[in-house]
Amino acid sequence: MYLIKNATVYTMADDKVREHTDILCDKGKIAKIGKDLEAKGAKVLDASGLVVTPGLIDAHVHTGGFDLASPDLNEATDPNTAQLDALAAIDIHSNDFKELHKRGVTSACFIPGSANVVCGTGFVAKTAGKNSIEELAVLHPAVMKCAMGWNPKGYGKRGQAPQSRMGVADIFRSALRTAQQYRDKKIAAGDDKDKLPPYDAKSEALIPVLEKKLPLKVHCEQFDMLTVIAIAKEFDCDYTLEHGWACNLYVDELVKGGGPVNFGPIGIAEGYGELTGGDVAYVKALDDKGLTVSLITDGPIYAPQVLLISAGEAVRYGISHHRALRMVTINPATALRVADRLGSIEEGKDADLVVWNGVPALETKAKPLYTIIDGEVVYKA
Amino acid sequence: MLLIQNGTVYLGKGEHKENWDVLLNGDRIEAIGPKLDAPKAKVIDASGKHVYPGLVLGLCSVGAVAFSEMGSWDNNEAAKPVAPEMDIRYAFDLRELKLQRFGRVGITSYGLCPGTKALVAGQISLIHVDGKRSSDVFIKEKIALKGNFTSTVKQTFKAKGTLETRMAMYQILDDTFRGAKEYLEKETKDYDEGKEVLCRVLRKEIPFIVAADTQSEIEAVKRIAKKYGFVPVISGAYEIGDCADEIIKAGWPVMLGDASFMLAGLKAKIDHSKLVKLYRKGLKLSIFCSGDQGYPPAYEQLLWVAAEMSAAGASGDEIMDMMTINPAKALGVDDLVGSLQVGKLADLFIACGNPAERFDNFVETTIVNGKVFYTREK
Repeated sequence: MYLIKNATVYTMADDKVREHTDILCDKGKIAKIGKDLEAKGAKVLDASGLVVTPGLIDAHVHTGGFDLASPDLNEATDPNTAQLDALAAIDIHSNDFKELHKRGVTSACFIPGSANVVCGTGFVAKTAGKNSIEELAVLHPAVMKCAMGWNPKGYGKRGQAPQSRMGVADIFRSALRTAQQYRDKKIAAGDDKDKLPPYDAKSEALIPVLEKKLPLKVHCEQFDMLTVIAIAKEFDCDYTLEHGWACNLYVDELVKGGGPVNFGPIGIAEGYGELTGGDVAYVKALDDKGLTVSLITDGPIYAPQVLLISAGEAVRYGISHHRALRMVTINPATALRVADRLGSIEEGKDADLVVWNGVPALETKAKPLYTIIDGEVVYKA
Repeated sequence: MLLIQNGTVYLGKGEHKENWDVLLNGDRIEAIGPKLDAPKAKVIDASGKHVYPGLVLGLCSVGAVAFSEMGSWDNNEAAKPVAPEMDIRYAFDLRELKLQRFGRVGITSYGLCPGTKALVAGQISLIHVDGKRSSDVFIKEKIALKGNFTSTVKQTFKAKGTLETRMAMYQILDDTFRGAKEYLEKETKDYDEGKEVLCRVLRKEIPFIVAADTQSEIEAVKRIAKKYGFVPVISGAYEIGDCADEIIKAGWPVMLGDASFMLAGLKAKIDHSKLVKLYRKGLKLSIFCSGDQGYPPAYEQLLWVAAEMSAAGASGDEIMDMMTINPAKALGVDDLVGSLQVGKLADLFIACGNPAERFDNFVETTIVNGKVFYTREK
């Protein structure tokens, strides 16, 4: 049991900043938020002059599975690898994974890379406090990672498909159509095992997508985003748009489509074609119109501290502080469908908290003094 | 003439002057002081605001990359490991520069540099972030020689069968400077453009700016520099914290790289708080050089590294010096840029506070080469 005393608290459940507030953590959950709380036997953490926020959530990482010498999250042998599971690729003892919680990131969505059109499932997990990735997992599987554009077009270099955006869309749609037909055959077969279609691991993995139990999580940018929205509509799937660069060109379409946008990494230079349009200021229009926007690091492409810095940069380039903080806490929790447990400081939710020495995303000096996951201190500066 | 009136003017090393003016005439700073008299000048009211020298980015390849041509970027000529004769000027594309957002960051000039692939990669130019023509953009050409003593070089040339170990990198670099020294000492010789450039380094006319990430890479560059007596500037320098004593003593500048990109174990070893301590012991540190690292190459990360230094305990003034006068000195162009001083180029920005201290210390106006380049939309 931990009792955090006298902190400035950003709960992210609302827009208020609560001064001189206590938080009681019990059995891994937030038991109570209020003033002058007391709890017998609780370890007291005096947070006078300090700031508490929910643990940060990165909605899009490859951390722990992307050692560049041999990246375990890109199985580029088949443009449809829906049956693969990112859980098998994450090494919690890798340097980049061990850094996450020290930078205030308490949960993340770990996903396959973007080498294939349909890449496999990703999952949401905590970043410290347990000894295996299975125990750290919060929601597994959580998403079906897919990719558009340049990355899957890499097959073209080997003379294989896809070589073009037409080919990418074709493989994407074929995968979903095959899964639809497979599902229909299974339903028609009912209990009659003789009538069941031959087991198809790819289609099996895609059935939860067709049932909207898993959202498509699609690496896309520029006009590829419109392709994703069209395909998701055609097959009646939920989706999130990953990276979302140049989203400023498609605000109305994205808002109408309704799928959350996980934007970033930010700060890329401007050029032509892909890998441009990463200006964090672009997300303001989407956020203003009610779309769920989160910021991402694409870790380990960018380091874990960049998640908080991205929120700070959002403030620097015109987004309000509270909105920016939402983009690294409650918004990713919502996009990842784990907001019942993560993303804000509310009674009954997981006790994932960060105690800062300043106001994060406003004062540059702010760094985690304590990171708390499931009510336990996992990092102390 | 442009008169920036009544601001808090930063003169460097922690010195702030309240209610001072800065008078710009053409591309130069004409006067600085309280209540300047310039009846004909156009006035920018900086009351309640801060005036800082334009930020100087040590190394950056943006403008010389050709992003659209993935895999054949123009800033890397890595057919052979040693190519000092390469001149970044010929890779420059004004259109690429014009696409960028330097103004809102407060960056007004930078060292446009060759990339990270070759051991000796070519010559750096100092450029402004704005200009009507390519020729307007270049402030000073061939200000320094760029080299790389990193694993990227090994990876690049291993595929070509040219070199694949640090031993070979060392040997080739040693041989390069030995050859240049011989050339320098010969009275009659056939003109060799590359050796001419290396001779400028040996004569200490220009620095040799070398990317070196790990302690062992940094040590190797130090050995060569001492052997041939030139001034090295270590860039990247992620592990400089472990081997800074000699560098502090020699007074060699260091340009810290971007630790936010591609955390691959190594860069996690950066200890910013150690760097703050070394800075206070005299390490001539400037922050951020992207070279052609990035996703693609980038520059806004300058203020990210500033935020990292702030979280590590550096003061806003210290960080401001690391982004202005220190990189100007490292590039050898502190007679032109890096501080608000009469006679220097009219590069500055006006902000509601130090952007290294708070994310909401917005850059309001950026002036490049005497002209208003950026104004923040309200």
